[in-house]
Order: sequence, then C-alpha cells, then structure tokens
Amino acid sequence: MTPRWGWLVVVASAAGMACQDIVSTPGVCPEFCPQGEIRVHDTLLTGVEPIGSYSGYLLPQEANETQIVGPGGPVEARALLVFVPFSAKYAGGDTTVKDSILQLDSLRLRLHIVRRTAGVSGMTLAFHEIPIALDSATTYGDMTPYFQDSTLLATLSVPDTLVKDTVAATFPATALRYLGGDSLQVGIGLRISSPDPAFVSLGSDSVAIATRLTRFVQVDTSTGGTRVVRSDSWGIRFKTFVADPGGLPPPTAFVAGAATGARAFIKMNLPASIVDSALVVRATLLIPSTRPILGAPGDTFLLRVLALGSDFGPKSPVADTTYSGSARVVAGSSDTVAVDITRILGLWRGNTTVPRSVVVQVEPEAASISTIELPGTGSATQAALRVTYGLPFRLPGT
Amino acid sequence: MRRSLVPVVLGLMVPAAVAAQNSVYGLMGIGFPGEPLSARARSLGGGIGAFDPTSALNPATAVGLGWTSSGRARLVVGGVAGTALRSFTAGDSTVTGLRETRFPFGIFGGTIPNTRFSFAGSFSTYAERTYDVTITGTQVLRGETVEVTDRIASDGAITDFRGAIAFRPGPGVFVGAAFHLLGGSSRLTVARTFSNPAYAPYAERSQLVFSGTGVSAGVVLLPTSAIELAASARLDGNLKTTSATRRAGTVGLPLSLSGGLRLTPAAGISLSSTAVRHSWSTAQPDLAAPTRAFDTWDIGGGVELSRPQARGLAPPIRLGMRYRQLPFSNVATQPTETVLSGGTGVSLAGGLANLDLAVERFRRSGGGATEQGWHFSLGMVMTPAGFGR
Repeated sequence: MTPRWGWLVVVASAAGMACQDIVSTPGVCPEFCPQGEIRVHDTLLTGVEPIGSYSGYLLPQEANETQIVGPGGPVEARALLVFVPFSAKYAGGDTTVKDSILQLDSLRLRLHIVRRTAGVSGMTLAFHEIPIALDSATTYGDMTPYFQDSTLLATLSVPDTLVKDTVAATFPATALRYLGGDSLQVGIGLRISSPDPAFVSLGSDSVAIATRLTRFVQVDTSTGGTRVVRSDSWGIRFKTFVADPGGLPPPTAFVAGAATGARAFIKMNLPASIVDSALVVRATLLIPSTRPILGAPGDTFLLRVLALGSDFGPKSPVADTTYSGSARVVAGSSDTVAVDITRILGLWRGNTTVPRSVVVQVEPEAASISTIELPGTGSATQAALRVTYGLPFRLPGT
Repeated sequence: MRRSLVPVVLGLMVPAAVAAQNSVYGLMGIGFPGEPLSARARSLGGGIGAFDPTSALNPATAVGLGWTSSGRARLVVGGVAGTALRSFTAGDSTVTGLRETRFPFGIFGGTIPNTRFSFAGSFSTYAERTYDVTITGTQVLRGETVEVTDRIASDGAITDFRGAIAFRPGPGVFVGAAFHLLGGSSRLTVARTFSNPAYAPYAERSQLVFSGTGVSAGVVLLPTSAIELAASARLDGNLKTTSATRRAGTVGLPLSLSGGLRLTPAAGISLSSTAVRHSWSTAQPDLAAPTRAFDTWDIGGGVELSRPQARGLAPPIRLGMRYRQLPFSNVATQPTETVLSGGTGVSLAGGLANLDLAVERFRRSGGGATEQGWHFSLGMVMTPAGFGR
C-alpha cells in the first residue's frame, strides 16, 4: 500500500465516525443531573395604556353577519334588508316560457341563520315592509314607524332545534304595498319576538348561503297561451342592522366592537428586561370589566388582539395576523377577560422595528351589538399584562 | 494494508442511529476526564503512556517522534478515532444502546532542523462534555402546579492543545517541557415543556467557551536497554468558562504527577506501567453543591508481545489493565473505573505508517450508578514520504 492510501483511510474513518445522533436519556437527580438552574418566573405588569378607540374600518353592510336582537335584553336590534330591484321581465332562465310577466303571485324570503340564542323556544321572526331608501346613516328611530302591524308581511317560527340552517317564509305579493308600478324593489325589516330574550345572526358571506328573495310569477309558455308559474331569485343590495340607543351605555373613550366595528388601541410600556431578554412562555392580557359586557342575550364573541406593524394612530396596520391572540367572551359577563398574547411578545423579542402596541377588536366585526369597554387611565381597575418568562439558564458558579 | 483490515475500517465508518452520550459521570464537575493516549497506549491499559511518543502525557517523549531508532530525523503525524458503546443504571433508570464517536486525539512532531531538539504538537480531550438528559418535575405557576419536562443537552469538550519541545542531553536521558492551551466549546441546549399547553415550550441555546493554560515537564531515563523510567509533572491554572460575553465560572485545575516503569526482559516482550496522580480536590471551592471533587489515581499496566517474522515483525499482541478514580460525584462516594484492554497493530507502507487497534471493556461504578461498555479505538501514525524513515 502506498502512503496515499493510508491517509485516505484515516480521513475516511474520521469523517464516518463524526456522524452521530443524540437521544435524550432520563436524568436521575440529584446524583446524576447536570448542574445549573432553569428559572421560570411570573409577574404582573401594569404598563398597559389604552391610547384610543376608532371605528369605520368595517360597516355593518360589509360585515359577514347581521344580528337581530329581541326585546328583554340590554339592547334591541333589527335587521334591514334592501334587495336588488326585480327585472320587469321574468329572468329565471327558462327558455320554454315567454319573459313577459302576466301576474306576480308571491315572494319567498330565504335566510341563513348562523347563530342563535341556545335554549330559547318559541322564537319568531317577523318580516315588515320598510322603505328602500336606506344607507349607513339610518337609525333605529328612523325605522321604528315601519315595524308596525300594518307593515307586517309574514312571520316565521324558528325551530327550537335549529342551530345553524336555512329558513324561508313565503308571503303574497299583495302584502307589499310599495312593490309594483315604477318600483320593482323590496325592503324588508326583521325583528324577533320570543318569550325570553333572544337573538339570531344571519349569515351573508357567500352566495350559497346569502339571503335571497324569490319571486313567483305567471308567464305564458313560448308555444301557446298556457299559463305556467316560474320563479326568479334576487340577492341583497344593502343590509344593515340598527340598535336601540336607549339600551346602550354612555359612550366612553376605549371600546371595541358594536355595530360601528370599533377598535381599541393599547400601548404596552413593558420593561426591556422581560420583552427583549427573557423567554416568554405565556403572556396574558387582562382586561377587567367596568360593567357587564354588552351583547345579545346568550351570545358570545371572539375578542382578538393583534400586534401593530406601525403606530400611525387609527390607520395603524397590523404586523401580521399570525401575531395575535384571542379569547371567547360571554355577553353579560363581568369577569376579567384574559387574552393570550404570547405570540405577540415573541414578535417583540429583540425586534425594535415594531411598536409595542396592539389593537383590540371584536370578531366578527361590525356584525353584532357586542361591545367591550376598556378601563381608562383614571379607572379604579386597570388592564394589565401577566407574563410568565424564563430567565437565561443559570450556570453553576454564576 | 492487508485486505482483511479493510472491512474493519469500513465498519467503524458506518454511522448508526443510536444515542451519542458520554459517560453518565460526565454530567458533573467540568465533565468526564479525557486521556491523551494513542490507540497503542490504550490497548496497553495506559501503561506505556509515560513513554509513548505518540501519546501526550510526558513531553520528554517528543524525542521519540523526532528520531528513528537508527538515528535519522523524521516528521510524524498521527491520530485516534474512537467509538464507545455504553449502558448504565442509575437509580431506577437503566439506559442501553448509547454510543459516542469522537476524534479525541491527534499529534504531529519531528526534529527541529539543525538542532538537537524535537517538537510535538497535539490536541486531546481534557474533559468530555457531551450529554443529553431529560428531567421531569413540577412548578407552581399562576397558583397552579404545572408538570414540567426539562431537557439539558451539551455537545462539546474541553480540548487540550499542547506544544512540547524535548531534547536528549545525554545518552539514555530525554527531557522535555510543554505549554498547554485549554480551549474548546460546548453547545448547550436548555429546553422546558409544560403539561399545560397554555405555556409555550421554550428552548435556549448558548455556546460555552472554555479557556485556560498549563505547563508540564518530564523526563525519561534509560539506565539500561531493558529498563526505562519516566516521570512528569503538569500544572494547570484555572479553567474559565464564558457564555456569549458573560463570565460563566472559573474552576481551579489540578496538579498532575506521573511516573512510569517499562521493562524489556527479552526481545519481543515489553512490560509497562504508568501511574498518574491528579489533585482534583483543588477544584472543590469552585464547584456548586452538591458536586464534590476528589483527588484521583490513574494506574495502568500492560504487556506487549511481538515476534520476528520473515519481513519485519508480526502484528503484536497487546494486553492491559487499568484502574482509575473519577474526580467528580454528587454524593460522598468517589466513582471508579476499571478497564481491561487489548489490541494489535500493523505496519504499513514499508514502515512509514502504523495502524493500531484497541478494544477496551470498561466498568464504572460509584455514586449510585454503574456503567459498562466497550470502547474501540483506531489509531494511525505515519511518516509522510520524504520526511525520514
């Protein structure tokens, strides 16, 4: 063998032997334990400073849900729906019939209920004809005159077993006082009546489950003078819900939620020794209640806290929706709301480019009357941050 | 190289998916003490350590690297790779199938041209700090008791870099001195998980860097052709540990004294023995409770049998036995280690290279644990072509 072969053997042996896997073995303490100390501490930080509350990010007509709250709760709310104008001619797509409408028979309103008060029986939805000239400025008071017996189109009993499903009610076209002639548009208002306080939320976030109004008309067949019944269906042009201001608490500086979709901004004045140096294993934002949390009877909502990417006041963008925390809140509760924001502190660790500020919002946004109030700086109870963190491993001899 | 050795070498090269762990006794103090020995010395129970030019125990032996038996100058390089297979029982816990592979020792040396001096540079493991341990316990957080699982893992070693110089002041006398630079690092991973998923698991990774210095001196006497005597002393300063920019402790290192006797009663028979005393108790003030440091003895001896054959020597048979005390324990009992060893070697490339194999069966006990296993070493020492023969 030449010397070159010898070198090859040594190098190859060393390279091969360098490969290894490590598997952890159980420690037997204190006899056979590594020296050192893992230190995990818990502390309550009070540097949580609400800095403002703003709305207008999402309007009720843009929300995924529309809430109807019956009487007996803290606030009554009603839904207002204005549909796309009907075509003057049949538009159902059946080519075996002529499109001239001979007679309008009836209409069917289909709704998709996505949430409701559990355990309340005898819930009834009442449909009223309302004006079609609505906008985001329409108030509960503006609509009150139209929720009378004279405007009642139909009622619909919500099955007690219904949790999330589609329901429909049919009413004669003659019940609509303003439909016909020049107006081919329908406005319908919805309210709830029930033995106990209750609510329903209507979903409108996709075509398949959106609220639809179907028109049943008589038309001639294309071959002769035989009358047949056909239908065409139309969606919503505008929808919203309005709440009775009489039940709302006086406005405060720091709120999140409500029909206005308000967001509250909070600045965290946290010591760098914890945010930058420690390993945060759990961080909980504690929001004490100044009064029972406003919401529909039996309703819950998600309170979400997101880290801001920049701090520009009301137009501050969020950093990344993955850096967030949330907690489900029960309406009417007076308990302190605890939101886990561990991931947000993970974003802040060693990152000086993002502000130490968060935004608090209710989800789904602008879709319910649910409102949480944050205590202001002068309040007896203050929001706080509870942080559980690990300190650097204490080596023996240090 | 004989074809029969190829499978052995290739076999040692195959990585396996088993645990890499150093001794369970390496969890304490500064780690598990290493041995600056060649594969040949290991197969002889360390008995030849005080005389072996390819080991780094006695700086006077650097003379042997620089000159051949026929008096010609040369340059020598060598190294050892070793794999340990191990199992241990500590308390109620028995762990098997642990493996660790290291390249713990390398040396090069030769003659300083136009002088009577020889030199040697080497690296060896001063203390091994590889372990991976999982511990369970509880902690009260936010008023509730939470079960926690901690993992503390270290991968690395304290390395001894030695620069030695030696010369032969007269017939049968070698003297030498060395400077030791302690270095190396270990990657430390500390992780904790919680039984309550509300608490996020965390892991902290850091790098521990070690530094220190030491000096050593030694002598080898050859009063007759059949008797060799050796002695050396080594004094180390403090071992400093830093993590990132912060100081992470200092440990006083021991004074080490060694002596050896080697007899060659007849051609082809060599008996050798080396004893080393380390004053590890000097580290005690720097160790955190409950770790204790003990002075240690390390005594080994072996016999090497070889017989002439038509071309050179036949592969020798090496047998050895070793007893040593281990320096650290978390209880009052000092652990010990006994080793039975054997090995052989082959001369390659017309004497320009030697390949040595050593197999050791070790058993360690004390402090509430027993540990046993095998250690396989493969060593290569060679003289590059053109640098003497």
